[in-house]
Parts: sequence; structure tokens; C-alpha cells
Amino acid sequence: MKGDRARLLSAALTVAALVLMGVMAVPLAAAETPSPPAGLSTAANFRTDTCSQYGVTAAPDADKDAKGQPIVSKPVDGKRPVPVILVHGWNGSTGTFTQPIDLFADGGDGGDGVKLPFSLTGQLENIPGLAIYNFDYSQYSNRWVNDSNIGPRLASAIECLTDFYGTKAEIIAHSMGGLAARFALDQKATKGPAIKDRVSQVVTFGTPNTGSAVAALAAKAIANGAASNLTRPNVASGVALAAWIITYICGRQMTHSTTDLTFPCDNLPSFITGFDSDAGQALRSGSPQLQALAAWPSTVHVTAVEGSTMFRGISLFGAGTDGPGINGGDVIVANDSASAGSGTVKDESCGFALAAGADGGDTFLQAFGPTLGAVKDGFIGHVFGKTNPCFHMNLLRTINGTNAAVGAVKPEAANASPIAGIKGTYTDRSPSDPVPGKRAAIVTITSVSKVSPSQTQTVIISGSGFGNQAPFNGDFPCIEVSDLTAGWNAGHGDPSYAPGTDTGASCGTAQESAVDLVTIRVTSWTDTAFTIAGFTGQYGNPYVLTSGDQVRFRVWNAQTGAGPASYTTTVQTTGSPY
Amino acid sequence: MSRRTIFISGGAAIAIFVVGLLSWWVLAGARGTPTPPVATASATGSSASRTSSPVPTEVADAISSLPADPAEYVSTQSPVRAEYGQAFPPGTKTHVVENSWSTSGASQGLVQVEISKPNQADQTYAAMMVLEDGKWKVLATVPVTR
Repeated sequence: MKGDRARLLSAALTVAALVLMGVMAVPLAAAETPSPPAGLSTAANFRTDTCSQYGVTAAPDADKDAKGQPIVSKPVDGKRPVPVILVHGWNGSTGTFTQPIDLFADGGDGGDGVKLPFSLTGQLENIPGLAIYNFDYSQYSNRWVNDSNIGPRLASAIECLTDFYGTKAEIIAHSMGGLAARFALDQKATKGPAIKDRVSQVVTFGTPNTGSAVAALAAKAIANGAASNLTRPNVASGVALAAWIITYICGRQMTHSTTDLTFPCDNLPSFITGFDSDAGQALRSGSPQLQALAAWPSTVHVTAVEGSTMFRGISLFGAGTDGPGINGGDVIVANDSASAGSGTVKDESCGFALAAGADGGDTFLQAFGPTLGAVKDGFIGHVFGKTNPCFHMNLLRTINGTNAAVGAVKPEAANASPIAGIKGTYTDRSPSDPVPGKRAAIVTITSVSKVSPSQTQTVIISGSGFGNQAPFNGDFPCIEVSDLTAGWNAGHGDPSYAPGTDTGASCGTAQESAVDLVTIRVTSWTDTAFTIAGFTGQYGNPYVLTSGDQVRFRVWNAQTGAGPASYTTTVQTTGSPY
Repeated sequence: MSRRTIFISGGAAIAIFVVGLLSWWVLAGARGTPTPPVATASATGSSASRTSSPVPTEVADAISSLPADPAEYVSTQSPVRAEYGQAFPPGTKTHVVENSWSTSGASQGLVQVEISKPNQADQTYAAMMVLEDGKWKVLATVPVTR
């Protein structure tokens, strides 16, 4: 009796501890309201679609806060964002990264996931300064990473985004997405620094850097059931066991069809089920395609998240059972393959006890989590089912694995790595978020030549970041001359603006839709200087420059709208106001 | 009851309440949302149709030869690091259980084996068999639960 009570108390405390650990393991910030802290811009346009031609698009606002509002990526004022590119695996999709994080490794889950309202995408979007993108190559199935639509295109996407932001990118990849990243990092840019010099780090989830022995073994076993299998030497032994289990359970299904599989076989990656595809063949351990793939660059830090499915109860008639079990990796990719070339390894470990029922094969696999323990009858195939936290396809649903990824990429948000020779064209300007003081840092006026009380005169504005513009006579959205003393403006506005429409140019504030009656004649406009040759339009009394007036020049970049830079000077005492 | 005792008791009560509340929240949340599919009758579909059958002669011969020549009848891919002398001490005998063969494809299968080792109780194992280089070999074994 006393023992029962002690066990009950122990069980209760264990449950309480697990609950607390689970709650504490989830970054609490995700549940907070999205109110930006001081210094945080609410600009919503810091993710660009200019690189969409290369397959990268802004990640969806996947998660919601406690009030049901979407958690939206935010920039930090005065700091350039860091692009984070999510690359899915073979025959995967961008949905890989919006799965709920609902699995505990180390056996704590026990098979029944605790669904939490967070995804990796949402966790990343909750970090100010990270601009999250998806790279989608799902429509190019059955191709190897050197296909123009995968690796080379990813390289172009990296070049485009880093050109835009001027900061090094970070990559988070699942499975073969990591191999696509390896290929991309070996490419040259069309101009400027090479791709490897534009990426600070990579986080991989179950990337088969040296291939998948299971893909090799399972494919061979299924394709040639009458011939010998498992003949490859030197493959990871635990993976051979995993291959045996997969083919034992799913072999018949896969022999008849690789597209109409039922649970748990439907959860197998297509490079096993579609083993005849280009990628399926290339992903096998020792394939020439893998051998030709460049190693991770030494300048790029790689964090590898790997799964360790520990098979227990395996022996040779009772011998050789020492140790924690036989490591089958994430069932698809062995540990040594997942971690090859990485600087940091985060291991997810899950124990599964294997036993055979008295009726032989029908209850062969009774795999269960050791902590919560009871054998669940009928859990055949649990090892590669949807509830094994350490299974290849489930790594992005684990709390520890996703926390490792978030922890790896987060520091860059506060301390972005610049790229030598790349300034970037990004500005944190937003029509709904005027932050004038910050914009001026992008466009700068260093000097303004003498301003005379004359209609016709030459005023040269020098500085940087002006962009380029053809000469004009009239108003232009990206320049404004203001006589602060007399109270009139000149040269600013969008002549193409039509009331009731929203087609005006983007420089300046909402007032840009209006036009100034006093216009200006600009004879040249380059990125470093432009020349005003005089005032036109309705210049004249009372809209005249008078000696001693304070005159302000405001300039925005003609291409990006960055700015404005502002410079105030005094009208000289010489000259005629006309 | 001292003020300190009251304070401690109150703190403990609050802590228990908080733990209980968190437990209810997490567990209620888990119940209130769809959970991943768990194994049901359909989960066993792939193996439910797999029925045991007579053990092929080649498999039975391999099992019977195993104690005398383990190097020949243990797969090179075996994940088990075992001393053959421990697995098959002198005098070991093996016997396949009739009609215990189940297979998926022609190159692998599962067979139940009773093994008798000197001075040890008899044990029954399920042996994972693979066809390797034209011979049936043991990859690994798991205990049979009854």
C-alpha cells in the first residue's frame, strides 16, 4: 500500500515535471502580444518580393499570438534585417516549416503529440530583425540539386536577397534542402562576392550529407526482391536494421505502388518510395552525384540537427545487448551522414524497444517511448510513423530541434554580418511608418552651393544615395525645396497622381500626392549630386526667395524612396529675387 | 501557527494550484486539438495480411548451421556487436518453430527460433533474416514475448 502511494506520488511528480518542462521549453515570447518594443519599427514592407523570380517568397505569418493576431515579422529601426531562407526537403513543401511543434524527444512524448500553437516559421518571425523567406522547388520533383531550378536557383535567390539587404543570409534546410544549399554555396555570384561569402550559417535537419543508406538498401531490396540485398559493405549498421524494418513492413506496398501507401508507409520520404528518380538514386550512399557535391565551406558555420532512433532489445540470440541500443539515426539518415561537415550537432534521441509477439510477424514491432511506457498494441511501424520525434520527417516538429535552430540564427538579428562590397538597397521606410531620422542615414546631403534670391540660378546639392533621374522641369516626388521663412514649397509632388487613385510615386509622405505650384528645373541628377537651374511654374510674388530666408532641401532616393536627407541653408544677400 | 508557517503553507498551495492549472491547460489543450494519427486497425494493414507459413528449407538449414559456423550465417550488415562465443557457446542447439516464417518480398523474413545453450534456460527469439550473397543469414534477433 505504502509502495503504491509512493509510486502514485512519483508518477504525479513526473507528470508535473514533464508538463513544466514542456511549457518552459517553448519560447514564451511567442505567446505575447506583438506590440513592438521601443526602437522597433512596425514597417511591414521589409520583406521584398523582388527576388520571387528566383523562387523565394516571404514566409507566411504562420502563428498567432494570444489575442489571435498573426505574429508578423518586424524590422528593427536603424538595423538592416537578416534574410533567413527556409529550404524544404525532397518532394517536400514550404509547409514543412509551418508544422506545429508538437513532439518531445528523449521519449517524453510517448507517441501522443501535445499540439502547441507554434511552428518554426512562427518562432523565427517572432524575432525582430529576421526577414523569413521560403525557397520553393516543390514543382521540380525527381530532380537532383544541380538542376537549374534547385541549387543554381537557390544561389540566385541568395545573391538577390543579400544584394537587397546588404547582410549575410542564414539558411535553415530540411533533408535534401541542405544538399541544395551545399550546391548553392559552391556557386559564384553574377557579380560581387561569391555565394559562400554571402551566407553566415546554415542549420540542417536530417540532411543526408553522405547519402542515405536506407535509400540505397531499401530501394535495392524492394526493386530486386528475388536477389540479394544488404550487400553494401561499411554502411552504418543501425541503418541496415532500419532498412530491414522498413522493407519488412512496407515492402509489399512499395513493390506494388509507391504512390498509394497507407500508414505508416505513407510517411516515408519519396527518395525511398521513388527510388528510381534522379534524386532517389543520387541520395543513395556513395552515389557519384553526392561525391561530386562540394563540401560545406569552412567559412560557413553549420549546425546539424539529427535524430537518433535507438533500437533496444536487439541482440544476437541474447548476446551483444550492452549499451543504450543500436542507433538507427533518424531511420532514413544515419548520424554520421547528418552531421558530416557540421560545426555543431544537436541530437534528438528516442528509444524504441523491439519485441516480437508469440504470433511472429504480426506484432513484430511494438515500439514505444520508454518514459511513458506501456506497449501500445498495434503500434506497428511507430518507428517511422508520425509520432516518432526522431524520425526524419518529424525533426522539424520537435521542441529541442527547433529551439536549436532558433538559437542558432537569433544572434545574427542583433548583430548582422555585413558583406564586403555590398551596401544593399534596403531601407526601413514604410508609407505607414514615417521614421525620418532613420531614413536620413541612407541618403545624405553633404553640401548645398550658394542659394541666391533669384529665379534663375544654379544650386548644386551634393551627397550620396540620391539614385538616378533624368532631367526634368516641374515637380518630382523625391525632391522638395521649402522656403521655411516665407512658407512655400517648390518642386515636390507627383504630377501623375490622379485623385481617387493610388498610383502616385512613392517618395515622401502622403502629401506627395499634391503638387507644388512652384516648380523647379533640374538639369542633372546622379547618385552623388544634382543641379537645380532655377525655379519655374508659379514662382513669383509672394512665392519668391528673399535674402535671409531659411531654405530647406529634402531629397529621397529616386529609385528606392530611401530618405529623406535634409539640409537647411540661408538665402544669400546678393542677387535679385526675380 | 506562526506567520512563517502560514506563509510557507500559502506558497505551497499556490505552487500546487499553478502546477495543477498548467497540467490542466496542457492536457486540455492536447485533448482539445487533433492529435497525429495513431495506429489503429489500419495501421497494421501492411502486416495484417502477412501470415506465418512453413519455414523454407534453406532458412531452416541456415539456422541449424548457425551455432557451428556463425561467421557464415550472420549477415555482414548485422548491427549487433556480439562475441560469437557468447551467442553460441559450445553445445548450443537451434530449432526453428514450425510455420513461423513471415516475409515481405523474397529477400527477407522473420522466423522464430528456439535456442538451447548449456546451463541456460531455453529462449525463443524472432530472427530477422536476409538473403545475402545467395544465402539466408541472420541480421539480428529480438526476444519473443508471450
